[in-house]
Amino acid sequence: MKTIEEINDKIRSGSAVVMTAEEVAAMTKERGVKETAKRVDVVTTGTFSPMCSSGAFLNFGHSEPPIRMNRVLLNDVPAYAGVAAVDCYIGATEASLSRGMEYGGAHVIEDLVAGKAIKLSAHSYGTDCYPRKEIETTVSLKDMNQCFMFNPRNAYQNYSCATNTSSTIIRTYMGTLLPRCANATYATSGELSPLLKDPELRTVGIGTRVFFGGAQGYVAWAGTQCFPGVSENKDGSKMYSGATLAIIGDLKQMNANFIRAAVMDGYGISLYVGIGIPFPVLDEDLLRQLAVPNSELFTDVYDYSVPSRSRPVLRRVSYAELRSGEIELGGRKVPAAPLSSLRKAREIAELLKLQVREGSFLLTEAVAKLPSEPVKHVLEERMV
Amino acid sequence: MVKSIKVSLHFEAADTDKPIAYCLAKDYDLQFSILQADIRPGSGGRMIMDLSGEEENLEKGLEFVRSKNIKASILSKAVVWNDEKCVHCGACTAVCTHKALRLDPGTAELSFTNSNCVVCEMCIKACPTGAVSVDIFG
Repeated sequence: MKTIEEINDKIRSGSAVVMTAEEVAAMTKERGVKETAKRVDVVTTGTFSPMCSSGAFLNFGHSEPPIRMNRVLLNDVPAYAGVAAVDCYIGATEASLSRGMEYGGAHVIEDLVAGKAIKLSAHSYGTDCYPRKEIETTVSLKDMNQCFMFNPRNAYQNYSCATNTSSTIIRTYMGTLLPRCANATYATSGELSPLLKDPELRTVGIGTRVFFGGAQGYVAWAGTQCFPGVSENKDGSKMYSGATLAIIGDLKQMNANFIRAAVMDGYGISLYVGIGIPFPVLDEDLLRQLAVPNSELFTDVYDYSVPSRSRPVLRRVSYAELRSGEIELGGRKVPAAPLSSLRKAREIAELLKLQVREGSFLLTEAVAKLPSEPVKHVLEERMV
Repeated sequence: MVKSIKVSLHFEAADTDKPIAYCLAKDYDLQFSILQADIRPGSGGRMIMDLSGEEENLEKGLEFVRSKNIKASILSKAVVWNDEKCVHCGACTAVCTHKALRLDPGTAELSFTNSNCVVCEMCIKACPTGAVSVDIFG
């Protein structure tokens, strides 16, 4: 049994043993849970995936004469300006008025993080205190005030694998799905995936410090649609899914290596967000979870040709099978392709390992448990 | 046998007035589309054409072009993968049935093997970061 404070003391003194989730899975297989739990203090994770529910608050500072912006365009992408005078929220999935799906909020965010200047065009109705009615200028991260990314739903604990049983090609947020189950896509980094490694959320809560797009961010709340759940497989093993995080972090500290715009053909714009969480090895129980390998982590294969909120499940697969590049579906071998970058997930877990080792990334005790919303609501259509 | 090729024609400054496309169609029975052209009197330039017709006529047509002091090079359309834009997610591998775009099972890095590529162009739109494109200059 160790406490987070004891582990932080070891980090500060430079004696903490830090490993990535992949390394700790291999070590546990070789040396067992007991010995590994004793030796390892921190396990790092990582994921780099398209996360649509993302965006950033920006504050431009005041012009002379000042304007109370009520319509804001950033490189021709509308930002939400229904907040105070020179605040706005640029959402990742918003499309450009002139370029449509080819450029959107995610690209604005990527360009800002990369240090590029963005064209700002704002309109107002003019008030006695803010007389100006329009402004056109350029802005970049370094000359704005507070800019923080605030993503309502990131870091999905687990995600479905998608395939298409219909006879036509479909373009979805899970990529291009070929007819008659000619391919399948999935989007979780498996044994490196943060919330799959502490599935009961023992150590993650409000205030937890996380690696967020290259910066140090914080868990702000439970993510939207956060419905943690567990289901048992026939052999008694478990499949965890459903938890999500709302995360907040300083856009100015982020790195374009870990924040990239994505266009899902025929669907729309999304944002690749790099996230990593370092987990304290508090006890053997937690280590056992942290060391679970791809062969014992599962997801369900859904038929995305059924455009319903409850799509049929075709089967359950392990991440080891998905990673092999082929899954068995209806007696056939079907190519399986990821949408999240394992290479980037590893890069994040490795970088986080270095940061914890050198003492620049300390672990946190959650301020509060994530509020849970046990009842999942659907949108009913009522007479209005 | 009917074949289709892409050619790039380079005109010297003195040769910009030669009616090459007309002759290729009329004298060699070749169908053409002009994909790109920037030829200016006095400075020359380049034209990229898609030519289709009997193989024999294509050969004779190119011979004719070269006899007019115009350099002609055959282009093959090729898929180009930009490593800098690539995030190695693997979304393109979902549609690359010829396995030209592959993720290494060990390093998880994406690689592109040109010789496996049939230029079906499915990957162009499947790539979320715009890291794959088609280059007609081969």
